[in-house]
Amino acid sequence: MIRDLRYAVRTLLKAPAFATTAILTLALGIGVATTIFSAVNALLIKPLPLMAEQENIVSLEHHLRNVGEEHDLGFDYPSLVDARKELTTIEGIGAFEDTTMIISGTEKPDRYLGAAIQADMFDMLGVKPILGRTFRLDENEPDAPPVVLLGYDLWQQRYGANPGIVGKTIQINGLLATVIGVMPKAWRFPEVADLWMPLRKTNKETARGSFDLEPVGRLKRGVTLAQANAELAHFAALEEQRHPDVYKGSVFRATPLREAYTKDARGLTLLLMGAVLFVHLIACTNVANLLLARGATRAKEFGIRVALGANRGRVVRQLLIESALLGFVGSAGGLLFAVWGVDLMLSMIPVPLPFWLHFDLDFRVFFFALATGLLSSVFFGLLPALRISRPNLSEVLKEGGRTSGGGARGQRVRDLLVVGEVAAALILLIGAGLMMRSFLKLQRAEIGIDAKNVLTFRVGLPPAQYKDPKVAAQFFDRLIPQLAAIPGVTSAAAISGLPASGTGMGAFTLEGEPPPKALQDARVASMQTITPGYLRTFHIPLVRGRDLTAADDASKPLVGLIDQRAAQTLFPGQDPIGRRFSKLTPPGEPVKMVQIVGVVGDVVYDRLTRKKSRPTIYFPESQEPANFMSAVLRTEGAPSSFANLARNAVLSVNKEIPIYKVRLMTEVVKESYWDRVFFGTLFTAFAVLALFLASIGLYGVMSYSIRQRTQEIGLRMALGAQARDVLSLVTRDALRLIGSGLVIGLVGAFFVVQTLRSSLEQVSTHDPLSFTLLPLLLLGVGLLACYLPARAATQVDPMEALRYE
Amino acid sequence: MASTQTSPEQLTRPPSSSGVQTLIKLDGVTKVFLTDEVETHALSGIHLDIRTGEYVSIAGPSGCGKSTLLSILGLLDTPSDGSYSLKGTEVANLSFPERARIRNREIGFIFQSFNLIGDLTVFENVELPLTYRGMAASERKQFVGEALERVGMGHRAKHLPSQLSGGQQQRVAVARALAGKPAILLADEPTGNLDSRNGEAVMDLLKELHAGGATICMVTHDARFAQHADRTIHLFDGRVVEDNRIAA
Ligand SMILES: Nc1ncnc2c1ncn2[C@@H]1O[C@H](COP(=O)(O)OP(=O)(O)OP(=O)(O)O)[C@@H](O)[C@H]1O
Ligand SMILES: [Mg+2]
Repeated sequence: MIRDLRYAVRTLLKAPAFATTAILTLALGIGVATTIFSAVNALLIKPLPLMAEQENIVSLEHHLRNVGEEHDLGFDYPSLVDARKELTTIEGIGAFEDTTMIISGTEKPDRYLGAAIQADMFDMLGVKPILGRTFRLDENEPDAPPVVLLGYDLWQQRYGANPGIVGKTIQINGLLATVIGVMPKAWRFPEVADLWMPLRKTNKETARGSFDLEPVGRLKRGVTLAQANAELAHFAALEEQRHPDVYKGSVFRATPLREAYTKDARGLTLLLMGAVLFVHLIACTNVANLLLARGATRAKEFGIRVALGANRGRVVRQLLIESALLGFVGSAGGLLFAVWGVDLMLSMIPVPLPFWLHFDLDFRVFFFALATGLLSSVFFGLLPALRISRPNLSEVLKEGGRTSGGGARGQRVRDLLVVGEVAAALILLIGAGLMMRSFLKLQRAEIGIDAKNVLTFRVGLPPAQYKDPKVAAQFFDRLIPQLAAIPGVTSAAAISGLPASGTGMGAFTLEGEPPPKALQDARVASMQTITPGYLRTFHIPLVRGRDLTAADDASKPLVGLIDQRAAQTLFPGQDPIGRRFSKLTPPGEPVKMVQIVGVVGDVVYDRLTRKKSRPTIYFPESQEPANFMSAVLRTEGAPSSFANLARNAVLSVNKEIPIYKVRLMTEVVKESYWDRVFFGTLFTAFAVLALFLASIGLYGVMSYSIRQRTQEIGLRMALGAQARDVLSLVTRDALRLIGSGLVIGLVGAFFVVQTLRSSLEQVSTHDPLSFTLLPLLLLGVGLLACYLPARAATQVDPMEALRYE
Repeated sequence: MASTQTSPEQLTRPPSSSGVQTLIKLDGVTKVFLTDEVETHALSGIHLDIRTGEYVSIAGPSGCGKSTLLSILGLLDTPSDGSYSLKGTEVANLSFPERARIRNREIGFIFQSFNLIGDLTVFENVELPLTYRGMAASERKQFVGEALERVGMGHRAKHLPSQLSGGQQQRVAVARALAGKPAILLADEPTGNLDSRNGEAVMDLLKELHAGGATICMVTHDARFAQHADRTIHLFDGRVVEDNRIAA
């Protein structure tokens, strides 16, 4: 064995060009596979950090039967309380809410993303603080003294890792809260929270039907997921019985936490994994072809050995050890590529990753790379080894009468491999092409605003601190003119939720309509609070009626704007101006009628990848105040240079209020489909890689076959073939290979791309453009790859070719 | 055996007025190979003319330049010096495509190792030179059929070369050389890879073709086969040292 290994090392060292090509090819294949595997590992395999017995942790979801499970509504607080009380299969059910937490008091105010959590949630998850304690149940009560748990990073950075921090008070959202503990490093539940306070629900927020919680709980020991879901079905029936107006058609379901976490990315990530395995397969095929070609030159050596009685098993073993050595070195190279690949991949993600998602190269990734290398060495090594170990001795004897074409069988294997490569490359290309087209469409999507030269940032008054909505209204009333007064700012306004970012849904009824029987029958619209000047800032056209003005204040009758889509769907063929509607209010609260005073152009407020045709309604900020708004500034010149001026303007209105999420509006739009760009770019990169590898494969096979056929080509030239005859001979061969590959690839792609359907916007899975242009591209590149060998063929010297010895 | 010996000078005489035409005329043809800075004079000052209908055999020790001479005659190679006229046209320094065209029309090759293409049937092998001429399919079929009949392989048209014996393969190769009705057949040790029985059959075939009017130039080691020819040229060290014409 050791001797075989030593011999293998020597053999490879003796053929450095072959060894380098093979190893680089393998390293490339293993590198991309390992890079994506690190994502699969992080998403689907590696345990979530810090949580104990995590296979029993479940996320609770709620959807309406007639809407579908992909739209998780979340729980309302009362149903959560019911579930906590009544469910016997799931314990420790708790909810959390992302909350902006502004720490002030000492230096400049800073905005952090915190979470308000059920007091016993961390205990349920099995995470222990490194300092102090977690929350007590009574700290959930609205009147309990405020307490806070700090995240590790916050503790390190803001408090210098002071071990005496527990017991100290800090000012959060205007409240003095006592620090009761510090959570361990890397714990940022639910996603990227830096600190936690107990969830305290006010009466207003706890109305039935305001679904916005995503509870988490733990299956009791010995309870299966199916049992829990059976109980949840019963629970849903009970809730529907008790409150039919809210829970009619409700389905409650428990999903393992990881599954809930990875729902969105899982499919595409696995597809990516499939894509890179294709790429790696193509790489392996190239190596197999290299080995086959090399085998043909070594056939004599092994032919003589076998003829002299060498044991076939030993020959195969020797050859496989050579392959395994290639695979092993390829794995090492692949890991190096992966280190770089993971960095590259992470740099393409513009949003912060949740705490449980870490793309590190842990032992699983390491093992994957190694296993891939060794396994593929069998894949690419076995066939050539078997062929070489069984030389056709009678063919060797026949060699005397030189009738060319004897190696036809070996050539056929190589041809088949290349056909497979072309097919695989085409499938990847078409898949990537569809994704590219989809995201190009998103990029060009008309969202109804002029996003250029607009700076946006988020600013808000924490509701805990500013309970009176009028205070918020006054804040923005003062802020907007200050922003507009900055030299170079041509127009400024604010809106509760920016276009293309998917916020602000609400239900309403038209005047004269009976209120909906159940929530699921309600009319819904994207509802936005805006300040006067919003339309102007984004260049949104006013189609009919009038714009909202500063005169529409709290003392005046309630007014609103609707978009054209709303006008068409709600009032087809009628004039909407003057019509009235009311927001759906919790039972008991008075109904407030809002009059429509204007119709404006359509703007997309959904994330572009989740676009639904929903009407939009705008309210004036002085009548429908919002604590958190996004300011929008249209500027002359580079908008980013106005960030500091804007921050100062905010501080001059209230020195405790920081601004955050400072972005160009164009970036906001782009971020709304970053995942499509991300996956599309990766798919495209892999498809191009596949194309590249397949052309190398074609090049290799063609030049090898031409080398094999030198004598035949020489003969043809002796018989009077002109250069173009030889060229067309070789081209015909290339076309046959590429053509078969393309046909197989087209059929394959037709089926494979169906899996992409849910990730494509406005592109059919049978997009004719992708299905014609990409095969042509592949054909072109393939012919190009064959051009050099073909040209070499025309330069065969018939004399040279026909001289025999 | 009646034979006359001629000096090289005599070979350069103009075509006789008796109506027999000079097909090939070499004048001072020299071939020098340069390998690793070593010059090999494969041919030195060859004067030779071959008339239509002649059957010439070339003999000589190994390495004396027989194959080189045949390559030059077959326009596979160009002489380093000297002139070569074929059917009265100077062909020594033609371009590559021109040479290919003339090879295709005027010259039929028969190789020692047959050089059939394994993936093609007998028919397709014979058809090969005709396809490079852009000949219509029906006409090709007729030409190929005739050629195969002449070598007695008409019944094997659909076979692959690997399904034939060596002698049969060489007959197919002869058919291929004939098919295009070339001005001259060039054969380099056509029996070298055959046993004596098959070898003789091929030689008989060549003799038959000659009797039918074909011009043949053949390299052979075998003295027995050399006798089939009506003219024997001996090469030594790249020079013609003997030219025996059997009196007609
Ligand atoms: N391409 C070449 N490069 C270098 N030298 C060559 C080349 N072809 C032929 N020669 C040399 O020219 C000389 C004549 O070779 P040629 O093949 O014509 O001999 P031959 O008479 O056919 O011999 P044989 O009877 O062995 O076939 C030899 O010395 C040979 O080594
Ligand atoms: Mg020779």
